[in-house]
This record gives sequence, C-alpha cells and structure tokens, in this order.
Amino acid sequence: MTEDLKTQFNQLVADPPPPSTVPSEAVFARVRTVRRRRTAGVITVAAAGVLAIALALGNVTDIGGAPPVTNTPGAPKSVITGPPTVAPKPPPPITVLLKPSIKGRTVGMTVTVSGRAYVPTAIPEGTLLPEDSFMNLSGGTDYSFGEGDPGGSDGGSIDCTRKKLKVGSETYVIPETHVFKKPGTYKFTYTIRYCGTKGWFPTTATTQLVVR
Amino acid sequence: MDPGRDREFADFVDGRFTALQRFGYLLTGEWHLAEDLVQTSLTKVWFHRNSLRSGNALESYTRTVMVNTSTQWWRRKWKGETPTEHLPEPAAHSSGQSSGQSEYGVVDDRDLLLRALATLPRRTRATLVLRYFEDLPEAEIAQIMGCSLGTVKSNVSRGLAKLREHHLVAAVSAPAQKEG
Repeated sequence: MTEDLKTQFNQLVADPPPPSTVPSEAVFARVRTVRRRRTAGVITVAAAGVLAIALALGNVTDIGGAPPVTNTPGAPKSVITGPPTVAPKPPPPITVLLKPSIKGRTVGMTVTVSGRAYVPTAIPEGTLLPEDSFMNLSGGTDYSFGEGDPGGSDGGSIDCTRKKLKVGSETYVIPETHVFKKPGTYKFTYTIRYCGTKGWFPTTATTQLVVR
Repeated sequence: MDPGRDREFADFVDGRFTALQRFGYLLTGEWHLAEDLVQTSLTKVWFHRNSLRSGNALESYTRTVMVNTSTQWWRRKWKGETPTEHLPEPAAHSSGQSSGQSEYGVVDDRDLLLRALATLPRRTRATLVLRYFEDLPEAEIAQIMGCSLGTVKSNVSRGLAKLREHHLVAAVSAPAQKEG
C-alpha cells in the first residue's frame, strides 16, 4: 500500500519545471530585501536619548560634567578605615533592556541597547562601519516570543577587527509584533551580538509576558 | 558576516533546490507556489544558518520552516485550492493499476492525488509527504513537525484513511509502524 503511495508521489513530482532564476541568487536577493526592511523598521528614539543626557547633565554644575562642589571649609573630613575592599566586578559591556507592550494577545517589544563595543569593518572593503546607529554596529540579533517562529536580523558581511571602540546607546521597536494563540505566561528572549576584545560575544535578555 | 559560510549556504541552496521544490509541490500543489515557498523558507533559514552545524541539520530545519510557512500561508489567505467534500468519481484504473494505463491515465491519477491531498489538513498532508515521499522515520518527522511521535502516527493513520476513501491507496492494511 505504502509503496503504491510512494510511486504516486514520485509520479506527481516527476517533471519539476526549471527554477526561474539561479536559486541561490534569488534567495540572497530576498535576504537583502529582508535586511533592508528590518533596518528600516528600526526607530531611533533620539529625543529620549537627548532627554536622558540633559537630565544627567542637570545633576552637575558645569558643561564639563564635574560634580558640584559640596566641600565647605571647616567641615570634618571623613576617614576611611578597615581592610581594603575587593574591587567590584566590572559591569557587562552591553546592557539590554526590554519593554513589552501588550494589547490583548498582541505583543510588541521596545529594546534599549547600550554599552561599549568595537566598530566592525565591512567585508571586503575593510572600512569601519558608520557610527550613526549603535544598533547597526551589532553582528546580528535573535529573538523569540516564546511561541511561533523566532525572528532576528543579520549583521551582513562585517568583521570584528577591534580597531575602534565605541560607546553608544539606542532604543528601537522591533518591527514585528506577535499575536499569541492563547493566553498564558511566555518568556521573550532577545540576543544581540557585538564585537569585543575576544571576538563576537552575545548578550541575552529575557522578560516575562503575561497574556490574558 | 562569514563569506565562507555564505558560499556553503549558496552551495546548499543550488544543490538541494530541486529536491526541496518537489517537497514544496507536494505541500502546496502548485509548482510556482512551491518555488516561492522554497525561496521564502530558505530566506528565513539564512538568518539562522550560523546555529546549524551540518548539512543534514540545515536541510532538516529547512523542511521544518517549509511546513510551518505553508501552514501559515494556508491560514492567512486563500491559495487557490478548493477542498471539496466529495471528489469526482475516480477513474476505474486508478487503484494501483498504473502499469498498463495510458499517459492520460497517469495524468488523471496525478490530478486525483493532488485533489485528495488538498482535502487533508495541512499538517496531516505534510506528515504523509515526509513519511511516504521523503521516506523519513517517524521520529525524525516528529522532530521536523515539532510534535510527538504519537501525533505523527495518528496523522499518518488519518491521512491514509482519507486517501483510501478516494481509492488512492490500495486495499487497506494497517498503516506502517515499522519505525519509531
């Protein structure tokens, strides 16, 4: 019985038409389109960044960012005693903050990426990527809403050459929202890769989604 | 990011395109849709190619994406298929008597099989194709479909029963359960 079905399947696909174009070229053309679309979907919240900087500068007394002078003449000087404390572990070079927006079963996600990383170089040109977007310096992202197909982006043909360090921050909205099929608690996972001293390194953040 | 891996991926696409296109045809029932399905799926796979080690993993993952994508397409919009409750009366020679029939008979059988496949739920259809066209063991099908072994077995059983209703498979023995 099953041999009969297999024979019928084989007859059905016996004469496939030739592909309309070179398959790999067609796929890479689509990949380029998707990457352009994803890049276009990135919304930089520049105003938020400017506001954050303004607020930070509001806590200091001059343009150079020096802390306010609080030392009054004659005030007692504090003396630190006791054993020397262990140097604190340096913070991770990249910080990822996730902020979900849940409307019914439709969930969107705002991602803030900040920290320091090396600026990648383009292949084959070998030139540093433009630094107008911290997000575009990444080597790619992966995310999953905990249900359905995972998403993400690719950094394209770039290399981690560690020529120039960049400190930056960027907030953007993932261009795709996700509609959950049923209520529940899900875990959103987001990973972004940047160029570090030992090559590409991932930074992963997760957040819980409660869908009602 | 890695030209060597891109080259490897391009070789995989060019080398396996026709096989994937055949699989896509059995999922969609139309050659141009099959080509579109393969290209769409390979585009999705490209973004995850770095996490797939071997060629087998790449092909297996591609089939998973193809099954999921075809199911999504079918859910989202009408794709030209018209499932009907009652199929036309099958030709007298269509029950496993292909050896002596004319070219037109073969074409009739093909048409009948496509129509019958169109009446199956998408995942049942994909399970049957993976089992009887790709010759994959049930455990691997379960992995590709992201379901349990029991679900694969019941899908195969239901799918075969449905095809038997259309006289597309010969008199019926129990569905194959030789692999786990």
